[in-house]
Amino acid sequence: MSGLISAVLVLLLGALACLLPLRNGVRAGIGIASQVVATGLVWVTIAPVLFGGPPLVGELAWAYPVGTLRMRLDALGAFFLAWSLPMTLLGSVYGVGYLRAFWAAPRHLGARHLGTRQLGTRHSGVRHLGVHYALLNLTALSFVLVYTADHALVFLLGWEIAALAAWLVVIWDYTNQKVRFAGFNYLVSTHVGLIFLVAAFMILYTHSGSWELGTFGDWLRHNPGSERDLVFLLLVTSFGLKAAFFPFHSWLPRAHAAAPAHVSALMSGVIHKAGLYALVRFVWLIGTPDEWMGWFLIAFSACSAVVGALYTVGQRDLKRLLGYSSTENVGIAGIGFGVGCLGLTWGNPALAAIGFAGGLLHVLNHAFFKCQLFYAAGAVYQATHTVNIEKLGGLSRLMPWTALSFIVGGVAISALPPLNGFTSEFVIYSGLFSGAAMPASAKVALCVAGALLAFVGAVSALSITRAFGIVFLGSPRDADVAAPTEVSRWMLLPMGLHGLAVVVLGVVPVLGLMLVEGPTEIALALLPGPKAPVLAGIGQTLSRIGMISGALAATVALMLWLRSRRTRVRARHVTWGCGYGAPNARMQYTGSSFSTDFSARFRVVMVLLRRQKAPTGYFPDDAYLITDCVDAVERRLFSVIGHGDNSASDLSGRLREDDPRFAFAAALAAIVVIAGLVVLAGGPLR
Amino acid sequence: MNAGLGLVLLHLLVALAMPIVMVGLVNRTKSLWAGRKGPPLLQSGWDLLRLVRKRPVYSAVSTPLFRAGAYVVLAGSWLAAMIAPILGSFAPLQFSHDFILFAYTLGLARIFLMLSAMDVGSSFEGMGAAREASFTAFVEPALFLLIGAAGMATGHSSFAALIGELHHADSFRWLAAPAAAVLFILLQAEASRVPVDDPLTHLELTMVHEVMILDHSGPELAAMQYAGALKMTIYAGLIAALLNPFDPARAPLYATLASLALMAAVAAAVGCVESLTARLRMRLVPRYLMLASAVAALCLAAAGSVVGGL
Repeated sequence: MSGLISAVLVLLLGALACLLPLRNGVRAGIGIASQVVATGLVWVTIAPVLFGGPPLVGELAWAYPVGTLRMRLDALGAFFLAWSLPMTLLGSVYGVGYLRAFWAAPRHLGARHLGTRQLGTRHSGVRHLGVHYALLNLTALSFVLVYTADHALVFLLGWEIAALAAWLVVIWDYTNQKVRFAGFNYLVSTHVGLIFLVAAFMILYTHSGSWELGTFGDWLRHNPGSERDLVFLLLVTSFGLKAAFFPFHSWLPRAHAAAPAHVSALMSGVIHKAGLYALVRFVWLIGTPDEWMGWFLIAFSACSAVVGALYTVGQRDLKRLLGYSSTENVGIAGIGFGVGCLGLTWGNPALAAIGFAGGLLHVLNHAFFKCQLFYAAGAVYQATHTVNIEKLGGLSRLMPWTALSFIVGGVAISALPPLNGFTSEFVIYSGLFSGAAMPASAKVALCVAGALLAFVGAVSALSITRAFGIVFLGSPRDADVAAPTEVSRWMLLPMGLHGLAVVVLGVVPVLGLMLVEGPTEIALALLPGPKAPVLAGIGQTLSRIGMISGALAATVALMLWLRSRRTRVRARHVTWGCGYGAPNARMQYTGSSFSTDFSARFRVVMVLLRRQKAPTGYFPDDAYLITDCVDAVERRLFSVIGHGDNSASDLSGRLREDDPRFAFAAALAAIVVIAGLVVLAGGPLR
Repeated sequence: MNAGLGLVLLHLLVALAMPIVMVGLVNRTKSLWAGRKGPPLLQSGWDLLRLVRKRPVYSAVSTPLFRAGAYVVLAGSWLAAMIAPILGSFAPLQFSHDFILFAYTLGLARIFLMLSAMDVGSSFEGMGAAREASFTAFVEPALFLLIGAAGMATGHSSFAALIGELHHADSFRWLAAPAAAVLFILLQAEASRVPVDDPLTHLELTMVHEVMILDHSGPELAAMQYAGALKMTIYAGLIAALLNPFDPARAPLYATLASLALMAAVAAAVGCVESLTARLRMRLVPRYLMLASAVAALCLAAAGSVVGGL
């Protein structure tokens, strides 16, 4: 435990040192160096816990209202810590390349000035990038707090540090009003989530009389009933807002599109995994969840996966697209957790192990490939100053490494072999199609969830094909977009490392399974009776799949090699244009034409806005067509808020609030209602 | 062990040779309906050989992905053919939940097919890729629902046992016809046959699969065409395995013969459908594909109610 506390101190010191009056390069160096040290310390501490050691417990005496602060590191926290800190570190490294243009830039210059002349001019006062690195350090620190907290207040503290730090790094480009709005949107929704979380904690505190999660667990285990159900729903809502489950996702695409690429990557890949961590933690505290909880989780998650996937299809902004795919992937992981929940309810160790192992493995895999995709999208932005896919094209010849990184991440996110996305979805599928003993209706329901997962896979393949095909293949679409060059090594290194992990975890899936074995043991320990090594079977299958995938890759490589040996001279010709003699790059299929047929069938969730000006006259000069796939939930939310606002002001206009008789009457009515509620609930009045 | 090895070789042989025969059979059937004599049965084999010998021409826009795509498609389809049971309840690669690898390997092949189409920057090929992608999304749930039904009925978890042992299940008489229908629609979608796609059309605007390989030539075109035929063979083989009453482990000869006969019958059926109906309008294709999912969902419900004793 002392290792973790010193890691926290190192991160704090690093954050403070980042604020010193130094050059921006030195500040970034300090931030990264402190994260390297902290990562090393954390790894040394958690390694024994993750691989079967006993949990670590630490206590810190604190003043009266709080009491003793307990920290407890078990395999679940160790699993999340194992990759959260190093990924934050890689994000900070990427940030060096991404923000380097601003190191000597004047204050208040944002991303939209990139490539303009303003950036080069020197003013008094240089933009302070130390704050950014200090905040990244604080983010890393919040992981240590959240993933080791055994005290509800420590948990809330870490939760809040993560939320605020994330908000502040999101609005890095604060001079842009859109960015500020996106940040505000995020700030509000994360705090709405906090209200739900605090409500749940207050209920738990009133019953258990303690702030310790273990005591919460004691009460939750022994008191099934409507209050536990309520706590469960409050927690799922809060964690759903954090992890951006549908329909609580509307802040996410905005925030991801507004933030710098490495921040989007960290938010989507790492920071919001805290929501899933907390979900699993509290499900395990419940111990034996009611059956409806498992089904609720599966339905809720499947809904997220389907809707998130559908939204990815229509997006024009590459980073928004990736943001929606986070909603999809937390849904996929959530389906795994739901299956695990059912396993706990039915006392079926195999089902519980497969469900939770699959979900956790997917969380890890998603962190790897999602960060990679965001890094590639950031590289595109840095090189071309736009992420609007309709303006891009043919980048793969100019930015081969970025293109390779995107396609590797894309194949992984579509859950295709031989990469890591497939292995975790395989585990989840094998939970859904397991031959475990259960009622026939349950089997049918799980099969339907499996079919939905297949649909999600096909849809995400569609949107990745669309994104990669439009942005990286073909020819450049817009002459106004600067001809890009490959980005700096600071940005390529994190991409490469993530890509390597994606490949290795795909071809040697047993490595990933080893990491989730420790946490899964905790779930198994909740079930009575002796347990056979349940993960061994799936491990064997996975290693066989790894071998097959490797053989597939080797076969393709061999065929390509044989092929390139045979023909050295390659004839080239223009693309077949159906006999048309003067094709140009604007005639290529666009992103919206790619998705329009498909999205037209899902009007309910995908609201397509169309603005157009048709050409008129014999010599039309100005015509345009803009299609926009907007978020149905967000539109609905805003319209409801707008209605509410209007009707509230209507009401207050009609009621003449300044009339004292009305005020007294309203207060009296409120007191009567509250007293009635207390009496009905069997409170102290009786 | 020897018998096992023999079966593996038999499976490989059937999987390698049948694509060419299947295409020949479909074309022969169509010729018969049209009152022509038709090409020789192995004509597509000669065509492939001719293509392999040719020197390819690449689009000036294309990247290395274009060339790699064709071989990923070929290798992916081969891998799928190793997992799919085509002789009955047997496949060279057989483990629990291998059907997921089967579906996703075909998915890998498909994504590379679509990407190599997008690589040349042609509007027509982009159109084909978009259609392929959205049709797949509608058809993908059908296979998993069907497998769910087979899993309920048989209690097995590997693809070969699920499809090949289904005829031992109580609910087989309810499931056989709809399951075969679902697989037949899957065949039409995956192998781009009428009414989903017309391989013979010569207008780029109406094509799906053929338009994606417009810019392929030489060996790459051969790889793509062979992979397309292989996919048809796989699905025909699945229908054969579903209806095959013999167990290849006990009666390999009968099982193989029955399977070959059934696959030939499927090819004839594909040819008949192609001769007697026209391709659906693009707008209607997703509905036709969703029909497969709906029928598969009914299969699942039927299997569930038989197992649940309703």
